[in-house]
Amino acid sequence: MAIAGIRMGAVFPHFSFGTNVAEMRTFATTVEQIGYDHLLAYDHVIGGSREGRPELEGRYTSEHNFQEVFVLFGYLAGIAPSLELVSGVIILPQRQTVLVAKQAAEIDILTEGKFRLGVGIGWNPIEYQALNENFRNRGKRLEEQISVLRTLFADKVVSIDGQWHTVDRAGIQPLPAKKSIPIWIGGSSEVAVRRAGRIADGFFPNQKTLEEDAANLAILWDEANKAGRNRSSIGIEARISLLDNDPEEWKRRFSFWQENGATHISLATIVQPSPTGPNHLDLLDQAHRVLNAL
Amino acid sequence: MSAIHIGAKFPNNETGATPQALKEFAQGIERLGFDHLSIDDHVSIAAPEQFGTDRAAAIRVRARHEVLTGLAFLAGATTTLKLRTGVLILPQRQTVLVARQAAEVDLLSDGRLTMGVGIGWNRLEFDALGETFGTRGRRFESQIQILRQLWTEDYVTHSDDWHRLERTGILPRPARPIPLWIGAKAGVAIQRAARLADGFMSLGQIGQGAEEEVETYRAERDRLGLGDRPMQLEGWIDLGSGAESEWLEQANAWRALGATHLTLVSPPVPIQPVTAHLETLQRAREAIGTL
Repeated sequence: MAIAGIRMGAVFPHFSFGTNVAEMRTFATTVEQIGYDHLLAYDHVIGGSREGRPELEGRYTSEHNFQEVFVLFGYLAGIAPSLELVSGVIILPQRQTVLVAKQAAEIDILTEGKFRLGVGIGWNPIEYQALNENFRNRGKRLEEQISVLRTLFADKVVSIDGQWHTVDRAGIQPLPAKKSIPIWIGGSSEVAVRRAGRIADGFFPNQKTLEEDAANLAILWDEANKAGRNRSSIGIEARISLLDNDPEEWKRRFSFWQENGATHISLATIVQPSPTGPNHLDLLDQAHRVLNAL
Repeated sequence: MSAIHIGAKFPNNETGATPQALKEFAQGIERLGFDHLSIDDHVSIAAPEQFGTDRAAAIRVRARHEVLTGLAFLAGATTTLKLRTGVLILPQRQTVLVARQAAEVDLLSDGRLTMGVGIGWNRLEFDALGETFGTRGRRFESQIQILRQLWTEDYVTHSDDWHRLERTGILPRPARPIPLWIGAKAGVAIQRAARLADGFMSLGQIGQGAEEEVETYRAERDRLGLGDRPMQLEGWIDLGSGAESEWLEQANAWRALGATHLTLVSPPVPIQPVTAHLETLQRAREAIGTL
């Protein structure tokens, strides 16, 4: 249930469940019962060993347990059928575009049209290398991929002759229910924010400070304006960490985002792997009530 | 001889792609006592004019579920049914992503996944996915090795024409090595199954090549000195032709060939309600009885 017109989501706490499927299931069904509109999950396909790689300090490594996002969503579509499922974000340029189209369409079908495809370019060359994709051109390739995805979502048979894609009178079937799936972009560099303003259906601001986020939004609207796009056609999904902030700060941030045009807000309780995690569901329940009372 | 595991193939081409049909079919066969469900795999479908008439007929341009996300959905909708990819076209996908997604399905289904893989026949599908059709057999062999390593080892380092992995791994890994079967028809591919796979999915039918395929498989096992190991063999029966008595005959023929698994394929008729498929499967299941 939206709060003050803003659709509310919960971030899937990837590192807290290990291989405990019953807990994942309970998380999704409880989030649904509390009244959240959507569930957002991250994506990393493979991690590198930390040993001898100082650049991985503070980053995700092969010690971090990530659920694979499409397979997880296929499962959750049947477990918590009223939730919208959101990838936030899939590292698109390290995957094959046509397979992403096929799996995204499948999730759209299984959720009966409640799927939002968040994409980004990631930061980890180890992951690109293991998936045999080029790390260096990932930004440009992402743009072409988004265009290819939209074409594949819209028509049963398509022909594409791009710089990185060749499709000769082929397509995916079934098409998504509305013949499109919202494609949102997450990223913090100026070029990523401008790309979102130009071509994305929505943007995930996620900076360290609200001031930085506000600056990025200004860039986003500037670029959208240049592209002749209406602000109301671009969604904004903010994220609020429930652990780094106290309830007063949750409220302050919620109000900030409300004033700054957020259409969606997701609340995160995600922590580094540890044997004693927070009680994610209690926090999400409390936060939903606190914000609902605003 | 232990009883043969009897399963059914999801009529991916015939039920329309709705979550309801998928769920109804899987829960239906689970209730009827089937042991497994298998789903085939095509990521993209070419326009009919792209094929000769036989292929166009074989691959009707209709909606089908994506195999790994579809099985994930069924992991939550069923409790005991074994889930099989039959077959996933491995060389057109990224190895590491297949490893990751298969591990995820296996986890969510509490260890009910068997990965059936093959090399496919459709060049256009490889083109669309940006993979090379001509070298798919060699790539496939390398992929199988890497899948097994990623499923069992913390970090994998491997370098060849198609892969460059450097101290990298997936987490969570499956709780057990996921059974990896190969579906094949050509001699060299069947020999590969004997050499590399945990089991062989025959693509032929009784009286139409299956006997020869199984013979090739056996001969290669013997040649490799694997003849003493228990053989794992999946056959299939097309319920689209013949009557109950012939289905039973075919089932007995599969048993004589040493099949451990049998998959029943309901007739490929245009968009049927799921109940029509379930009725045919129930009739066949009763006709065949316990093998």
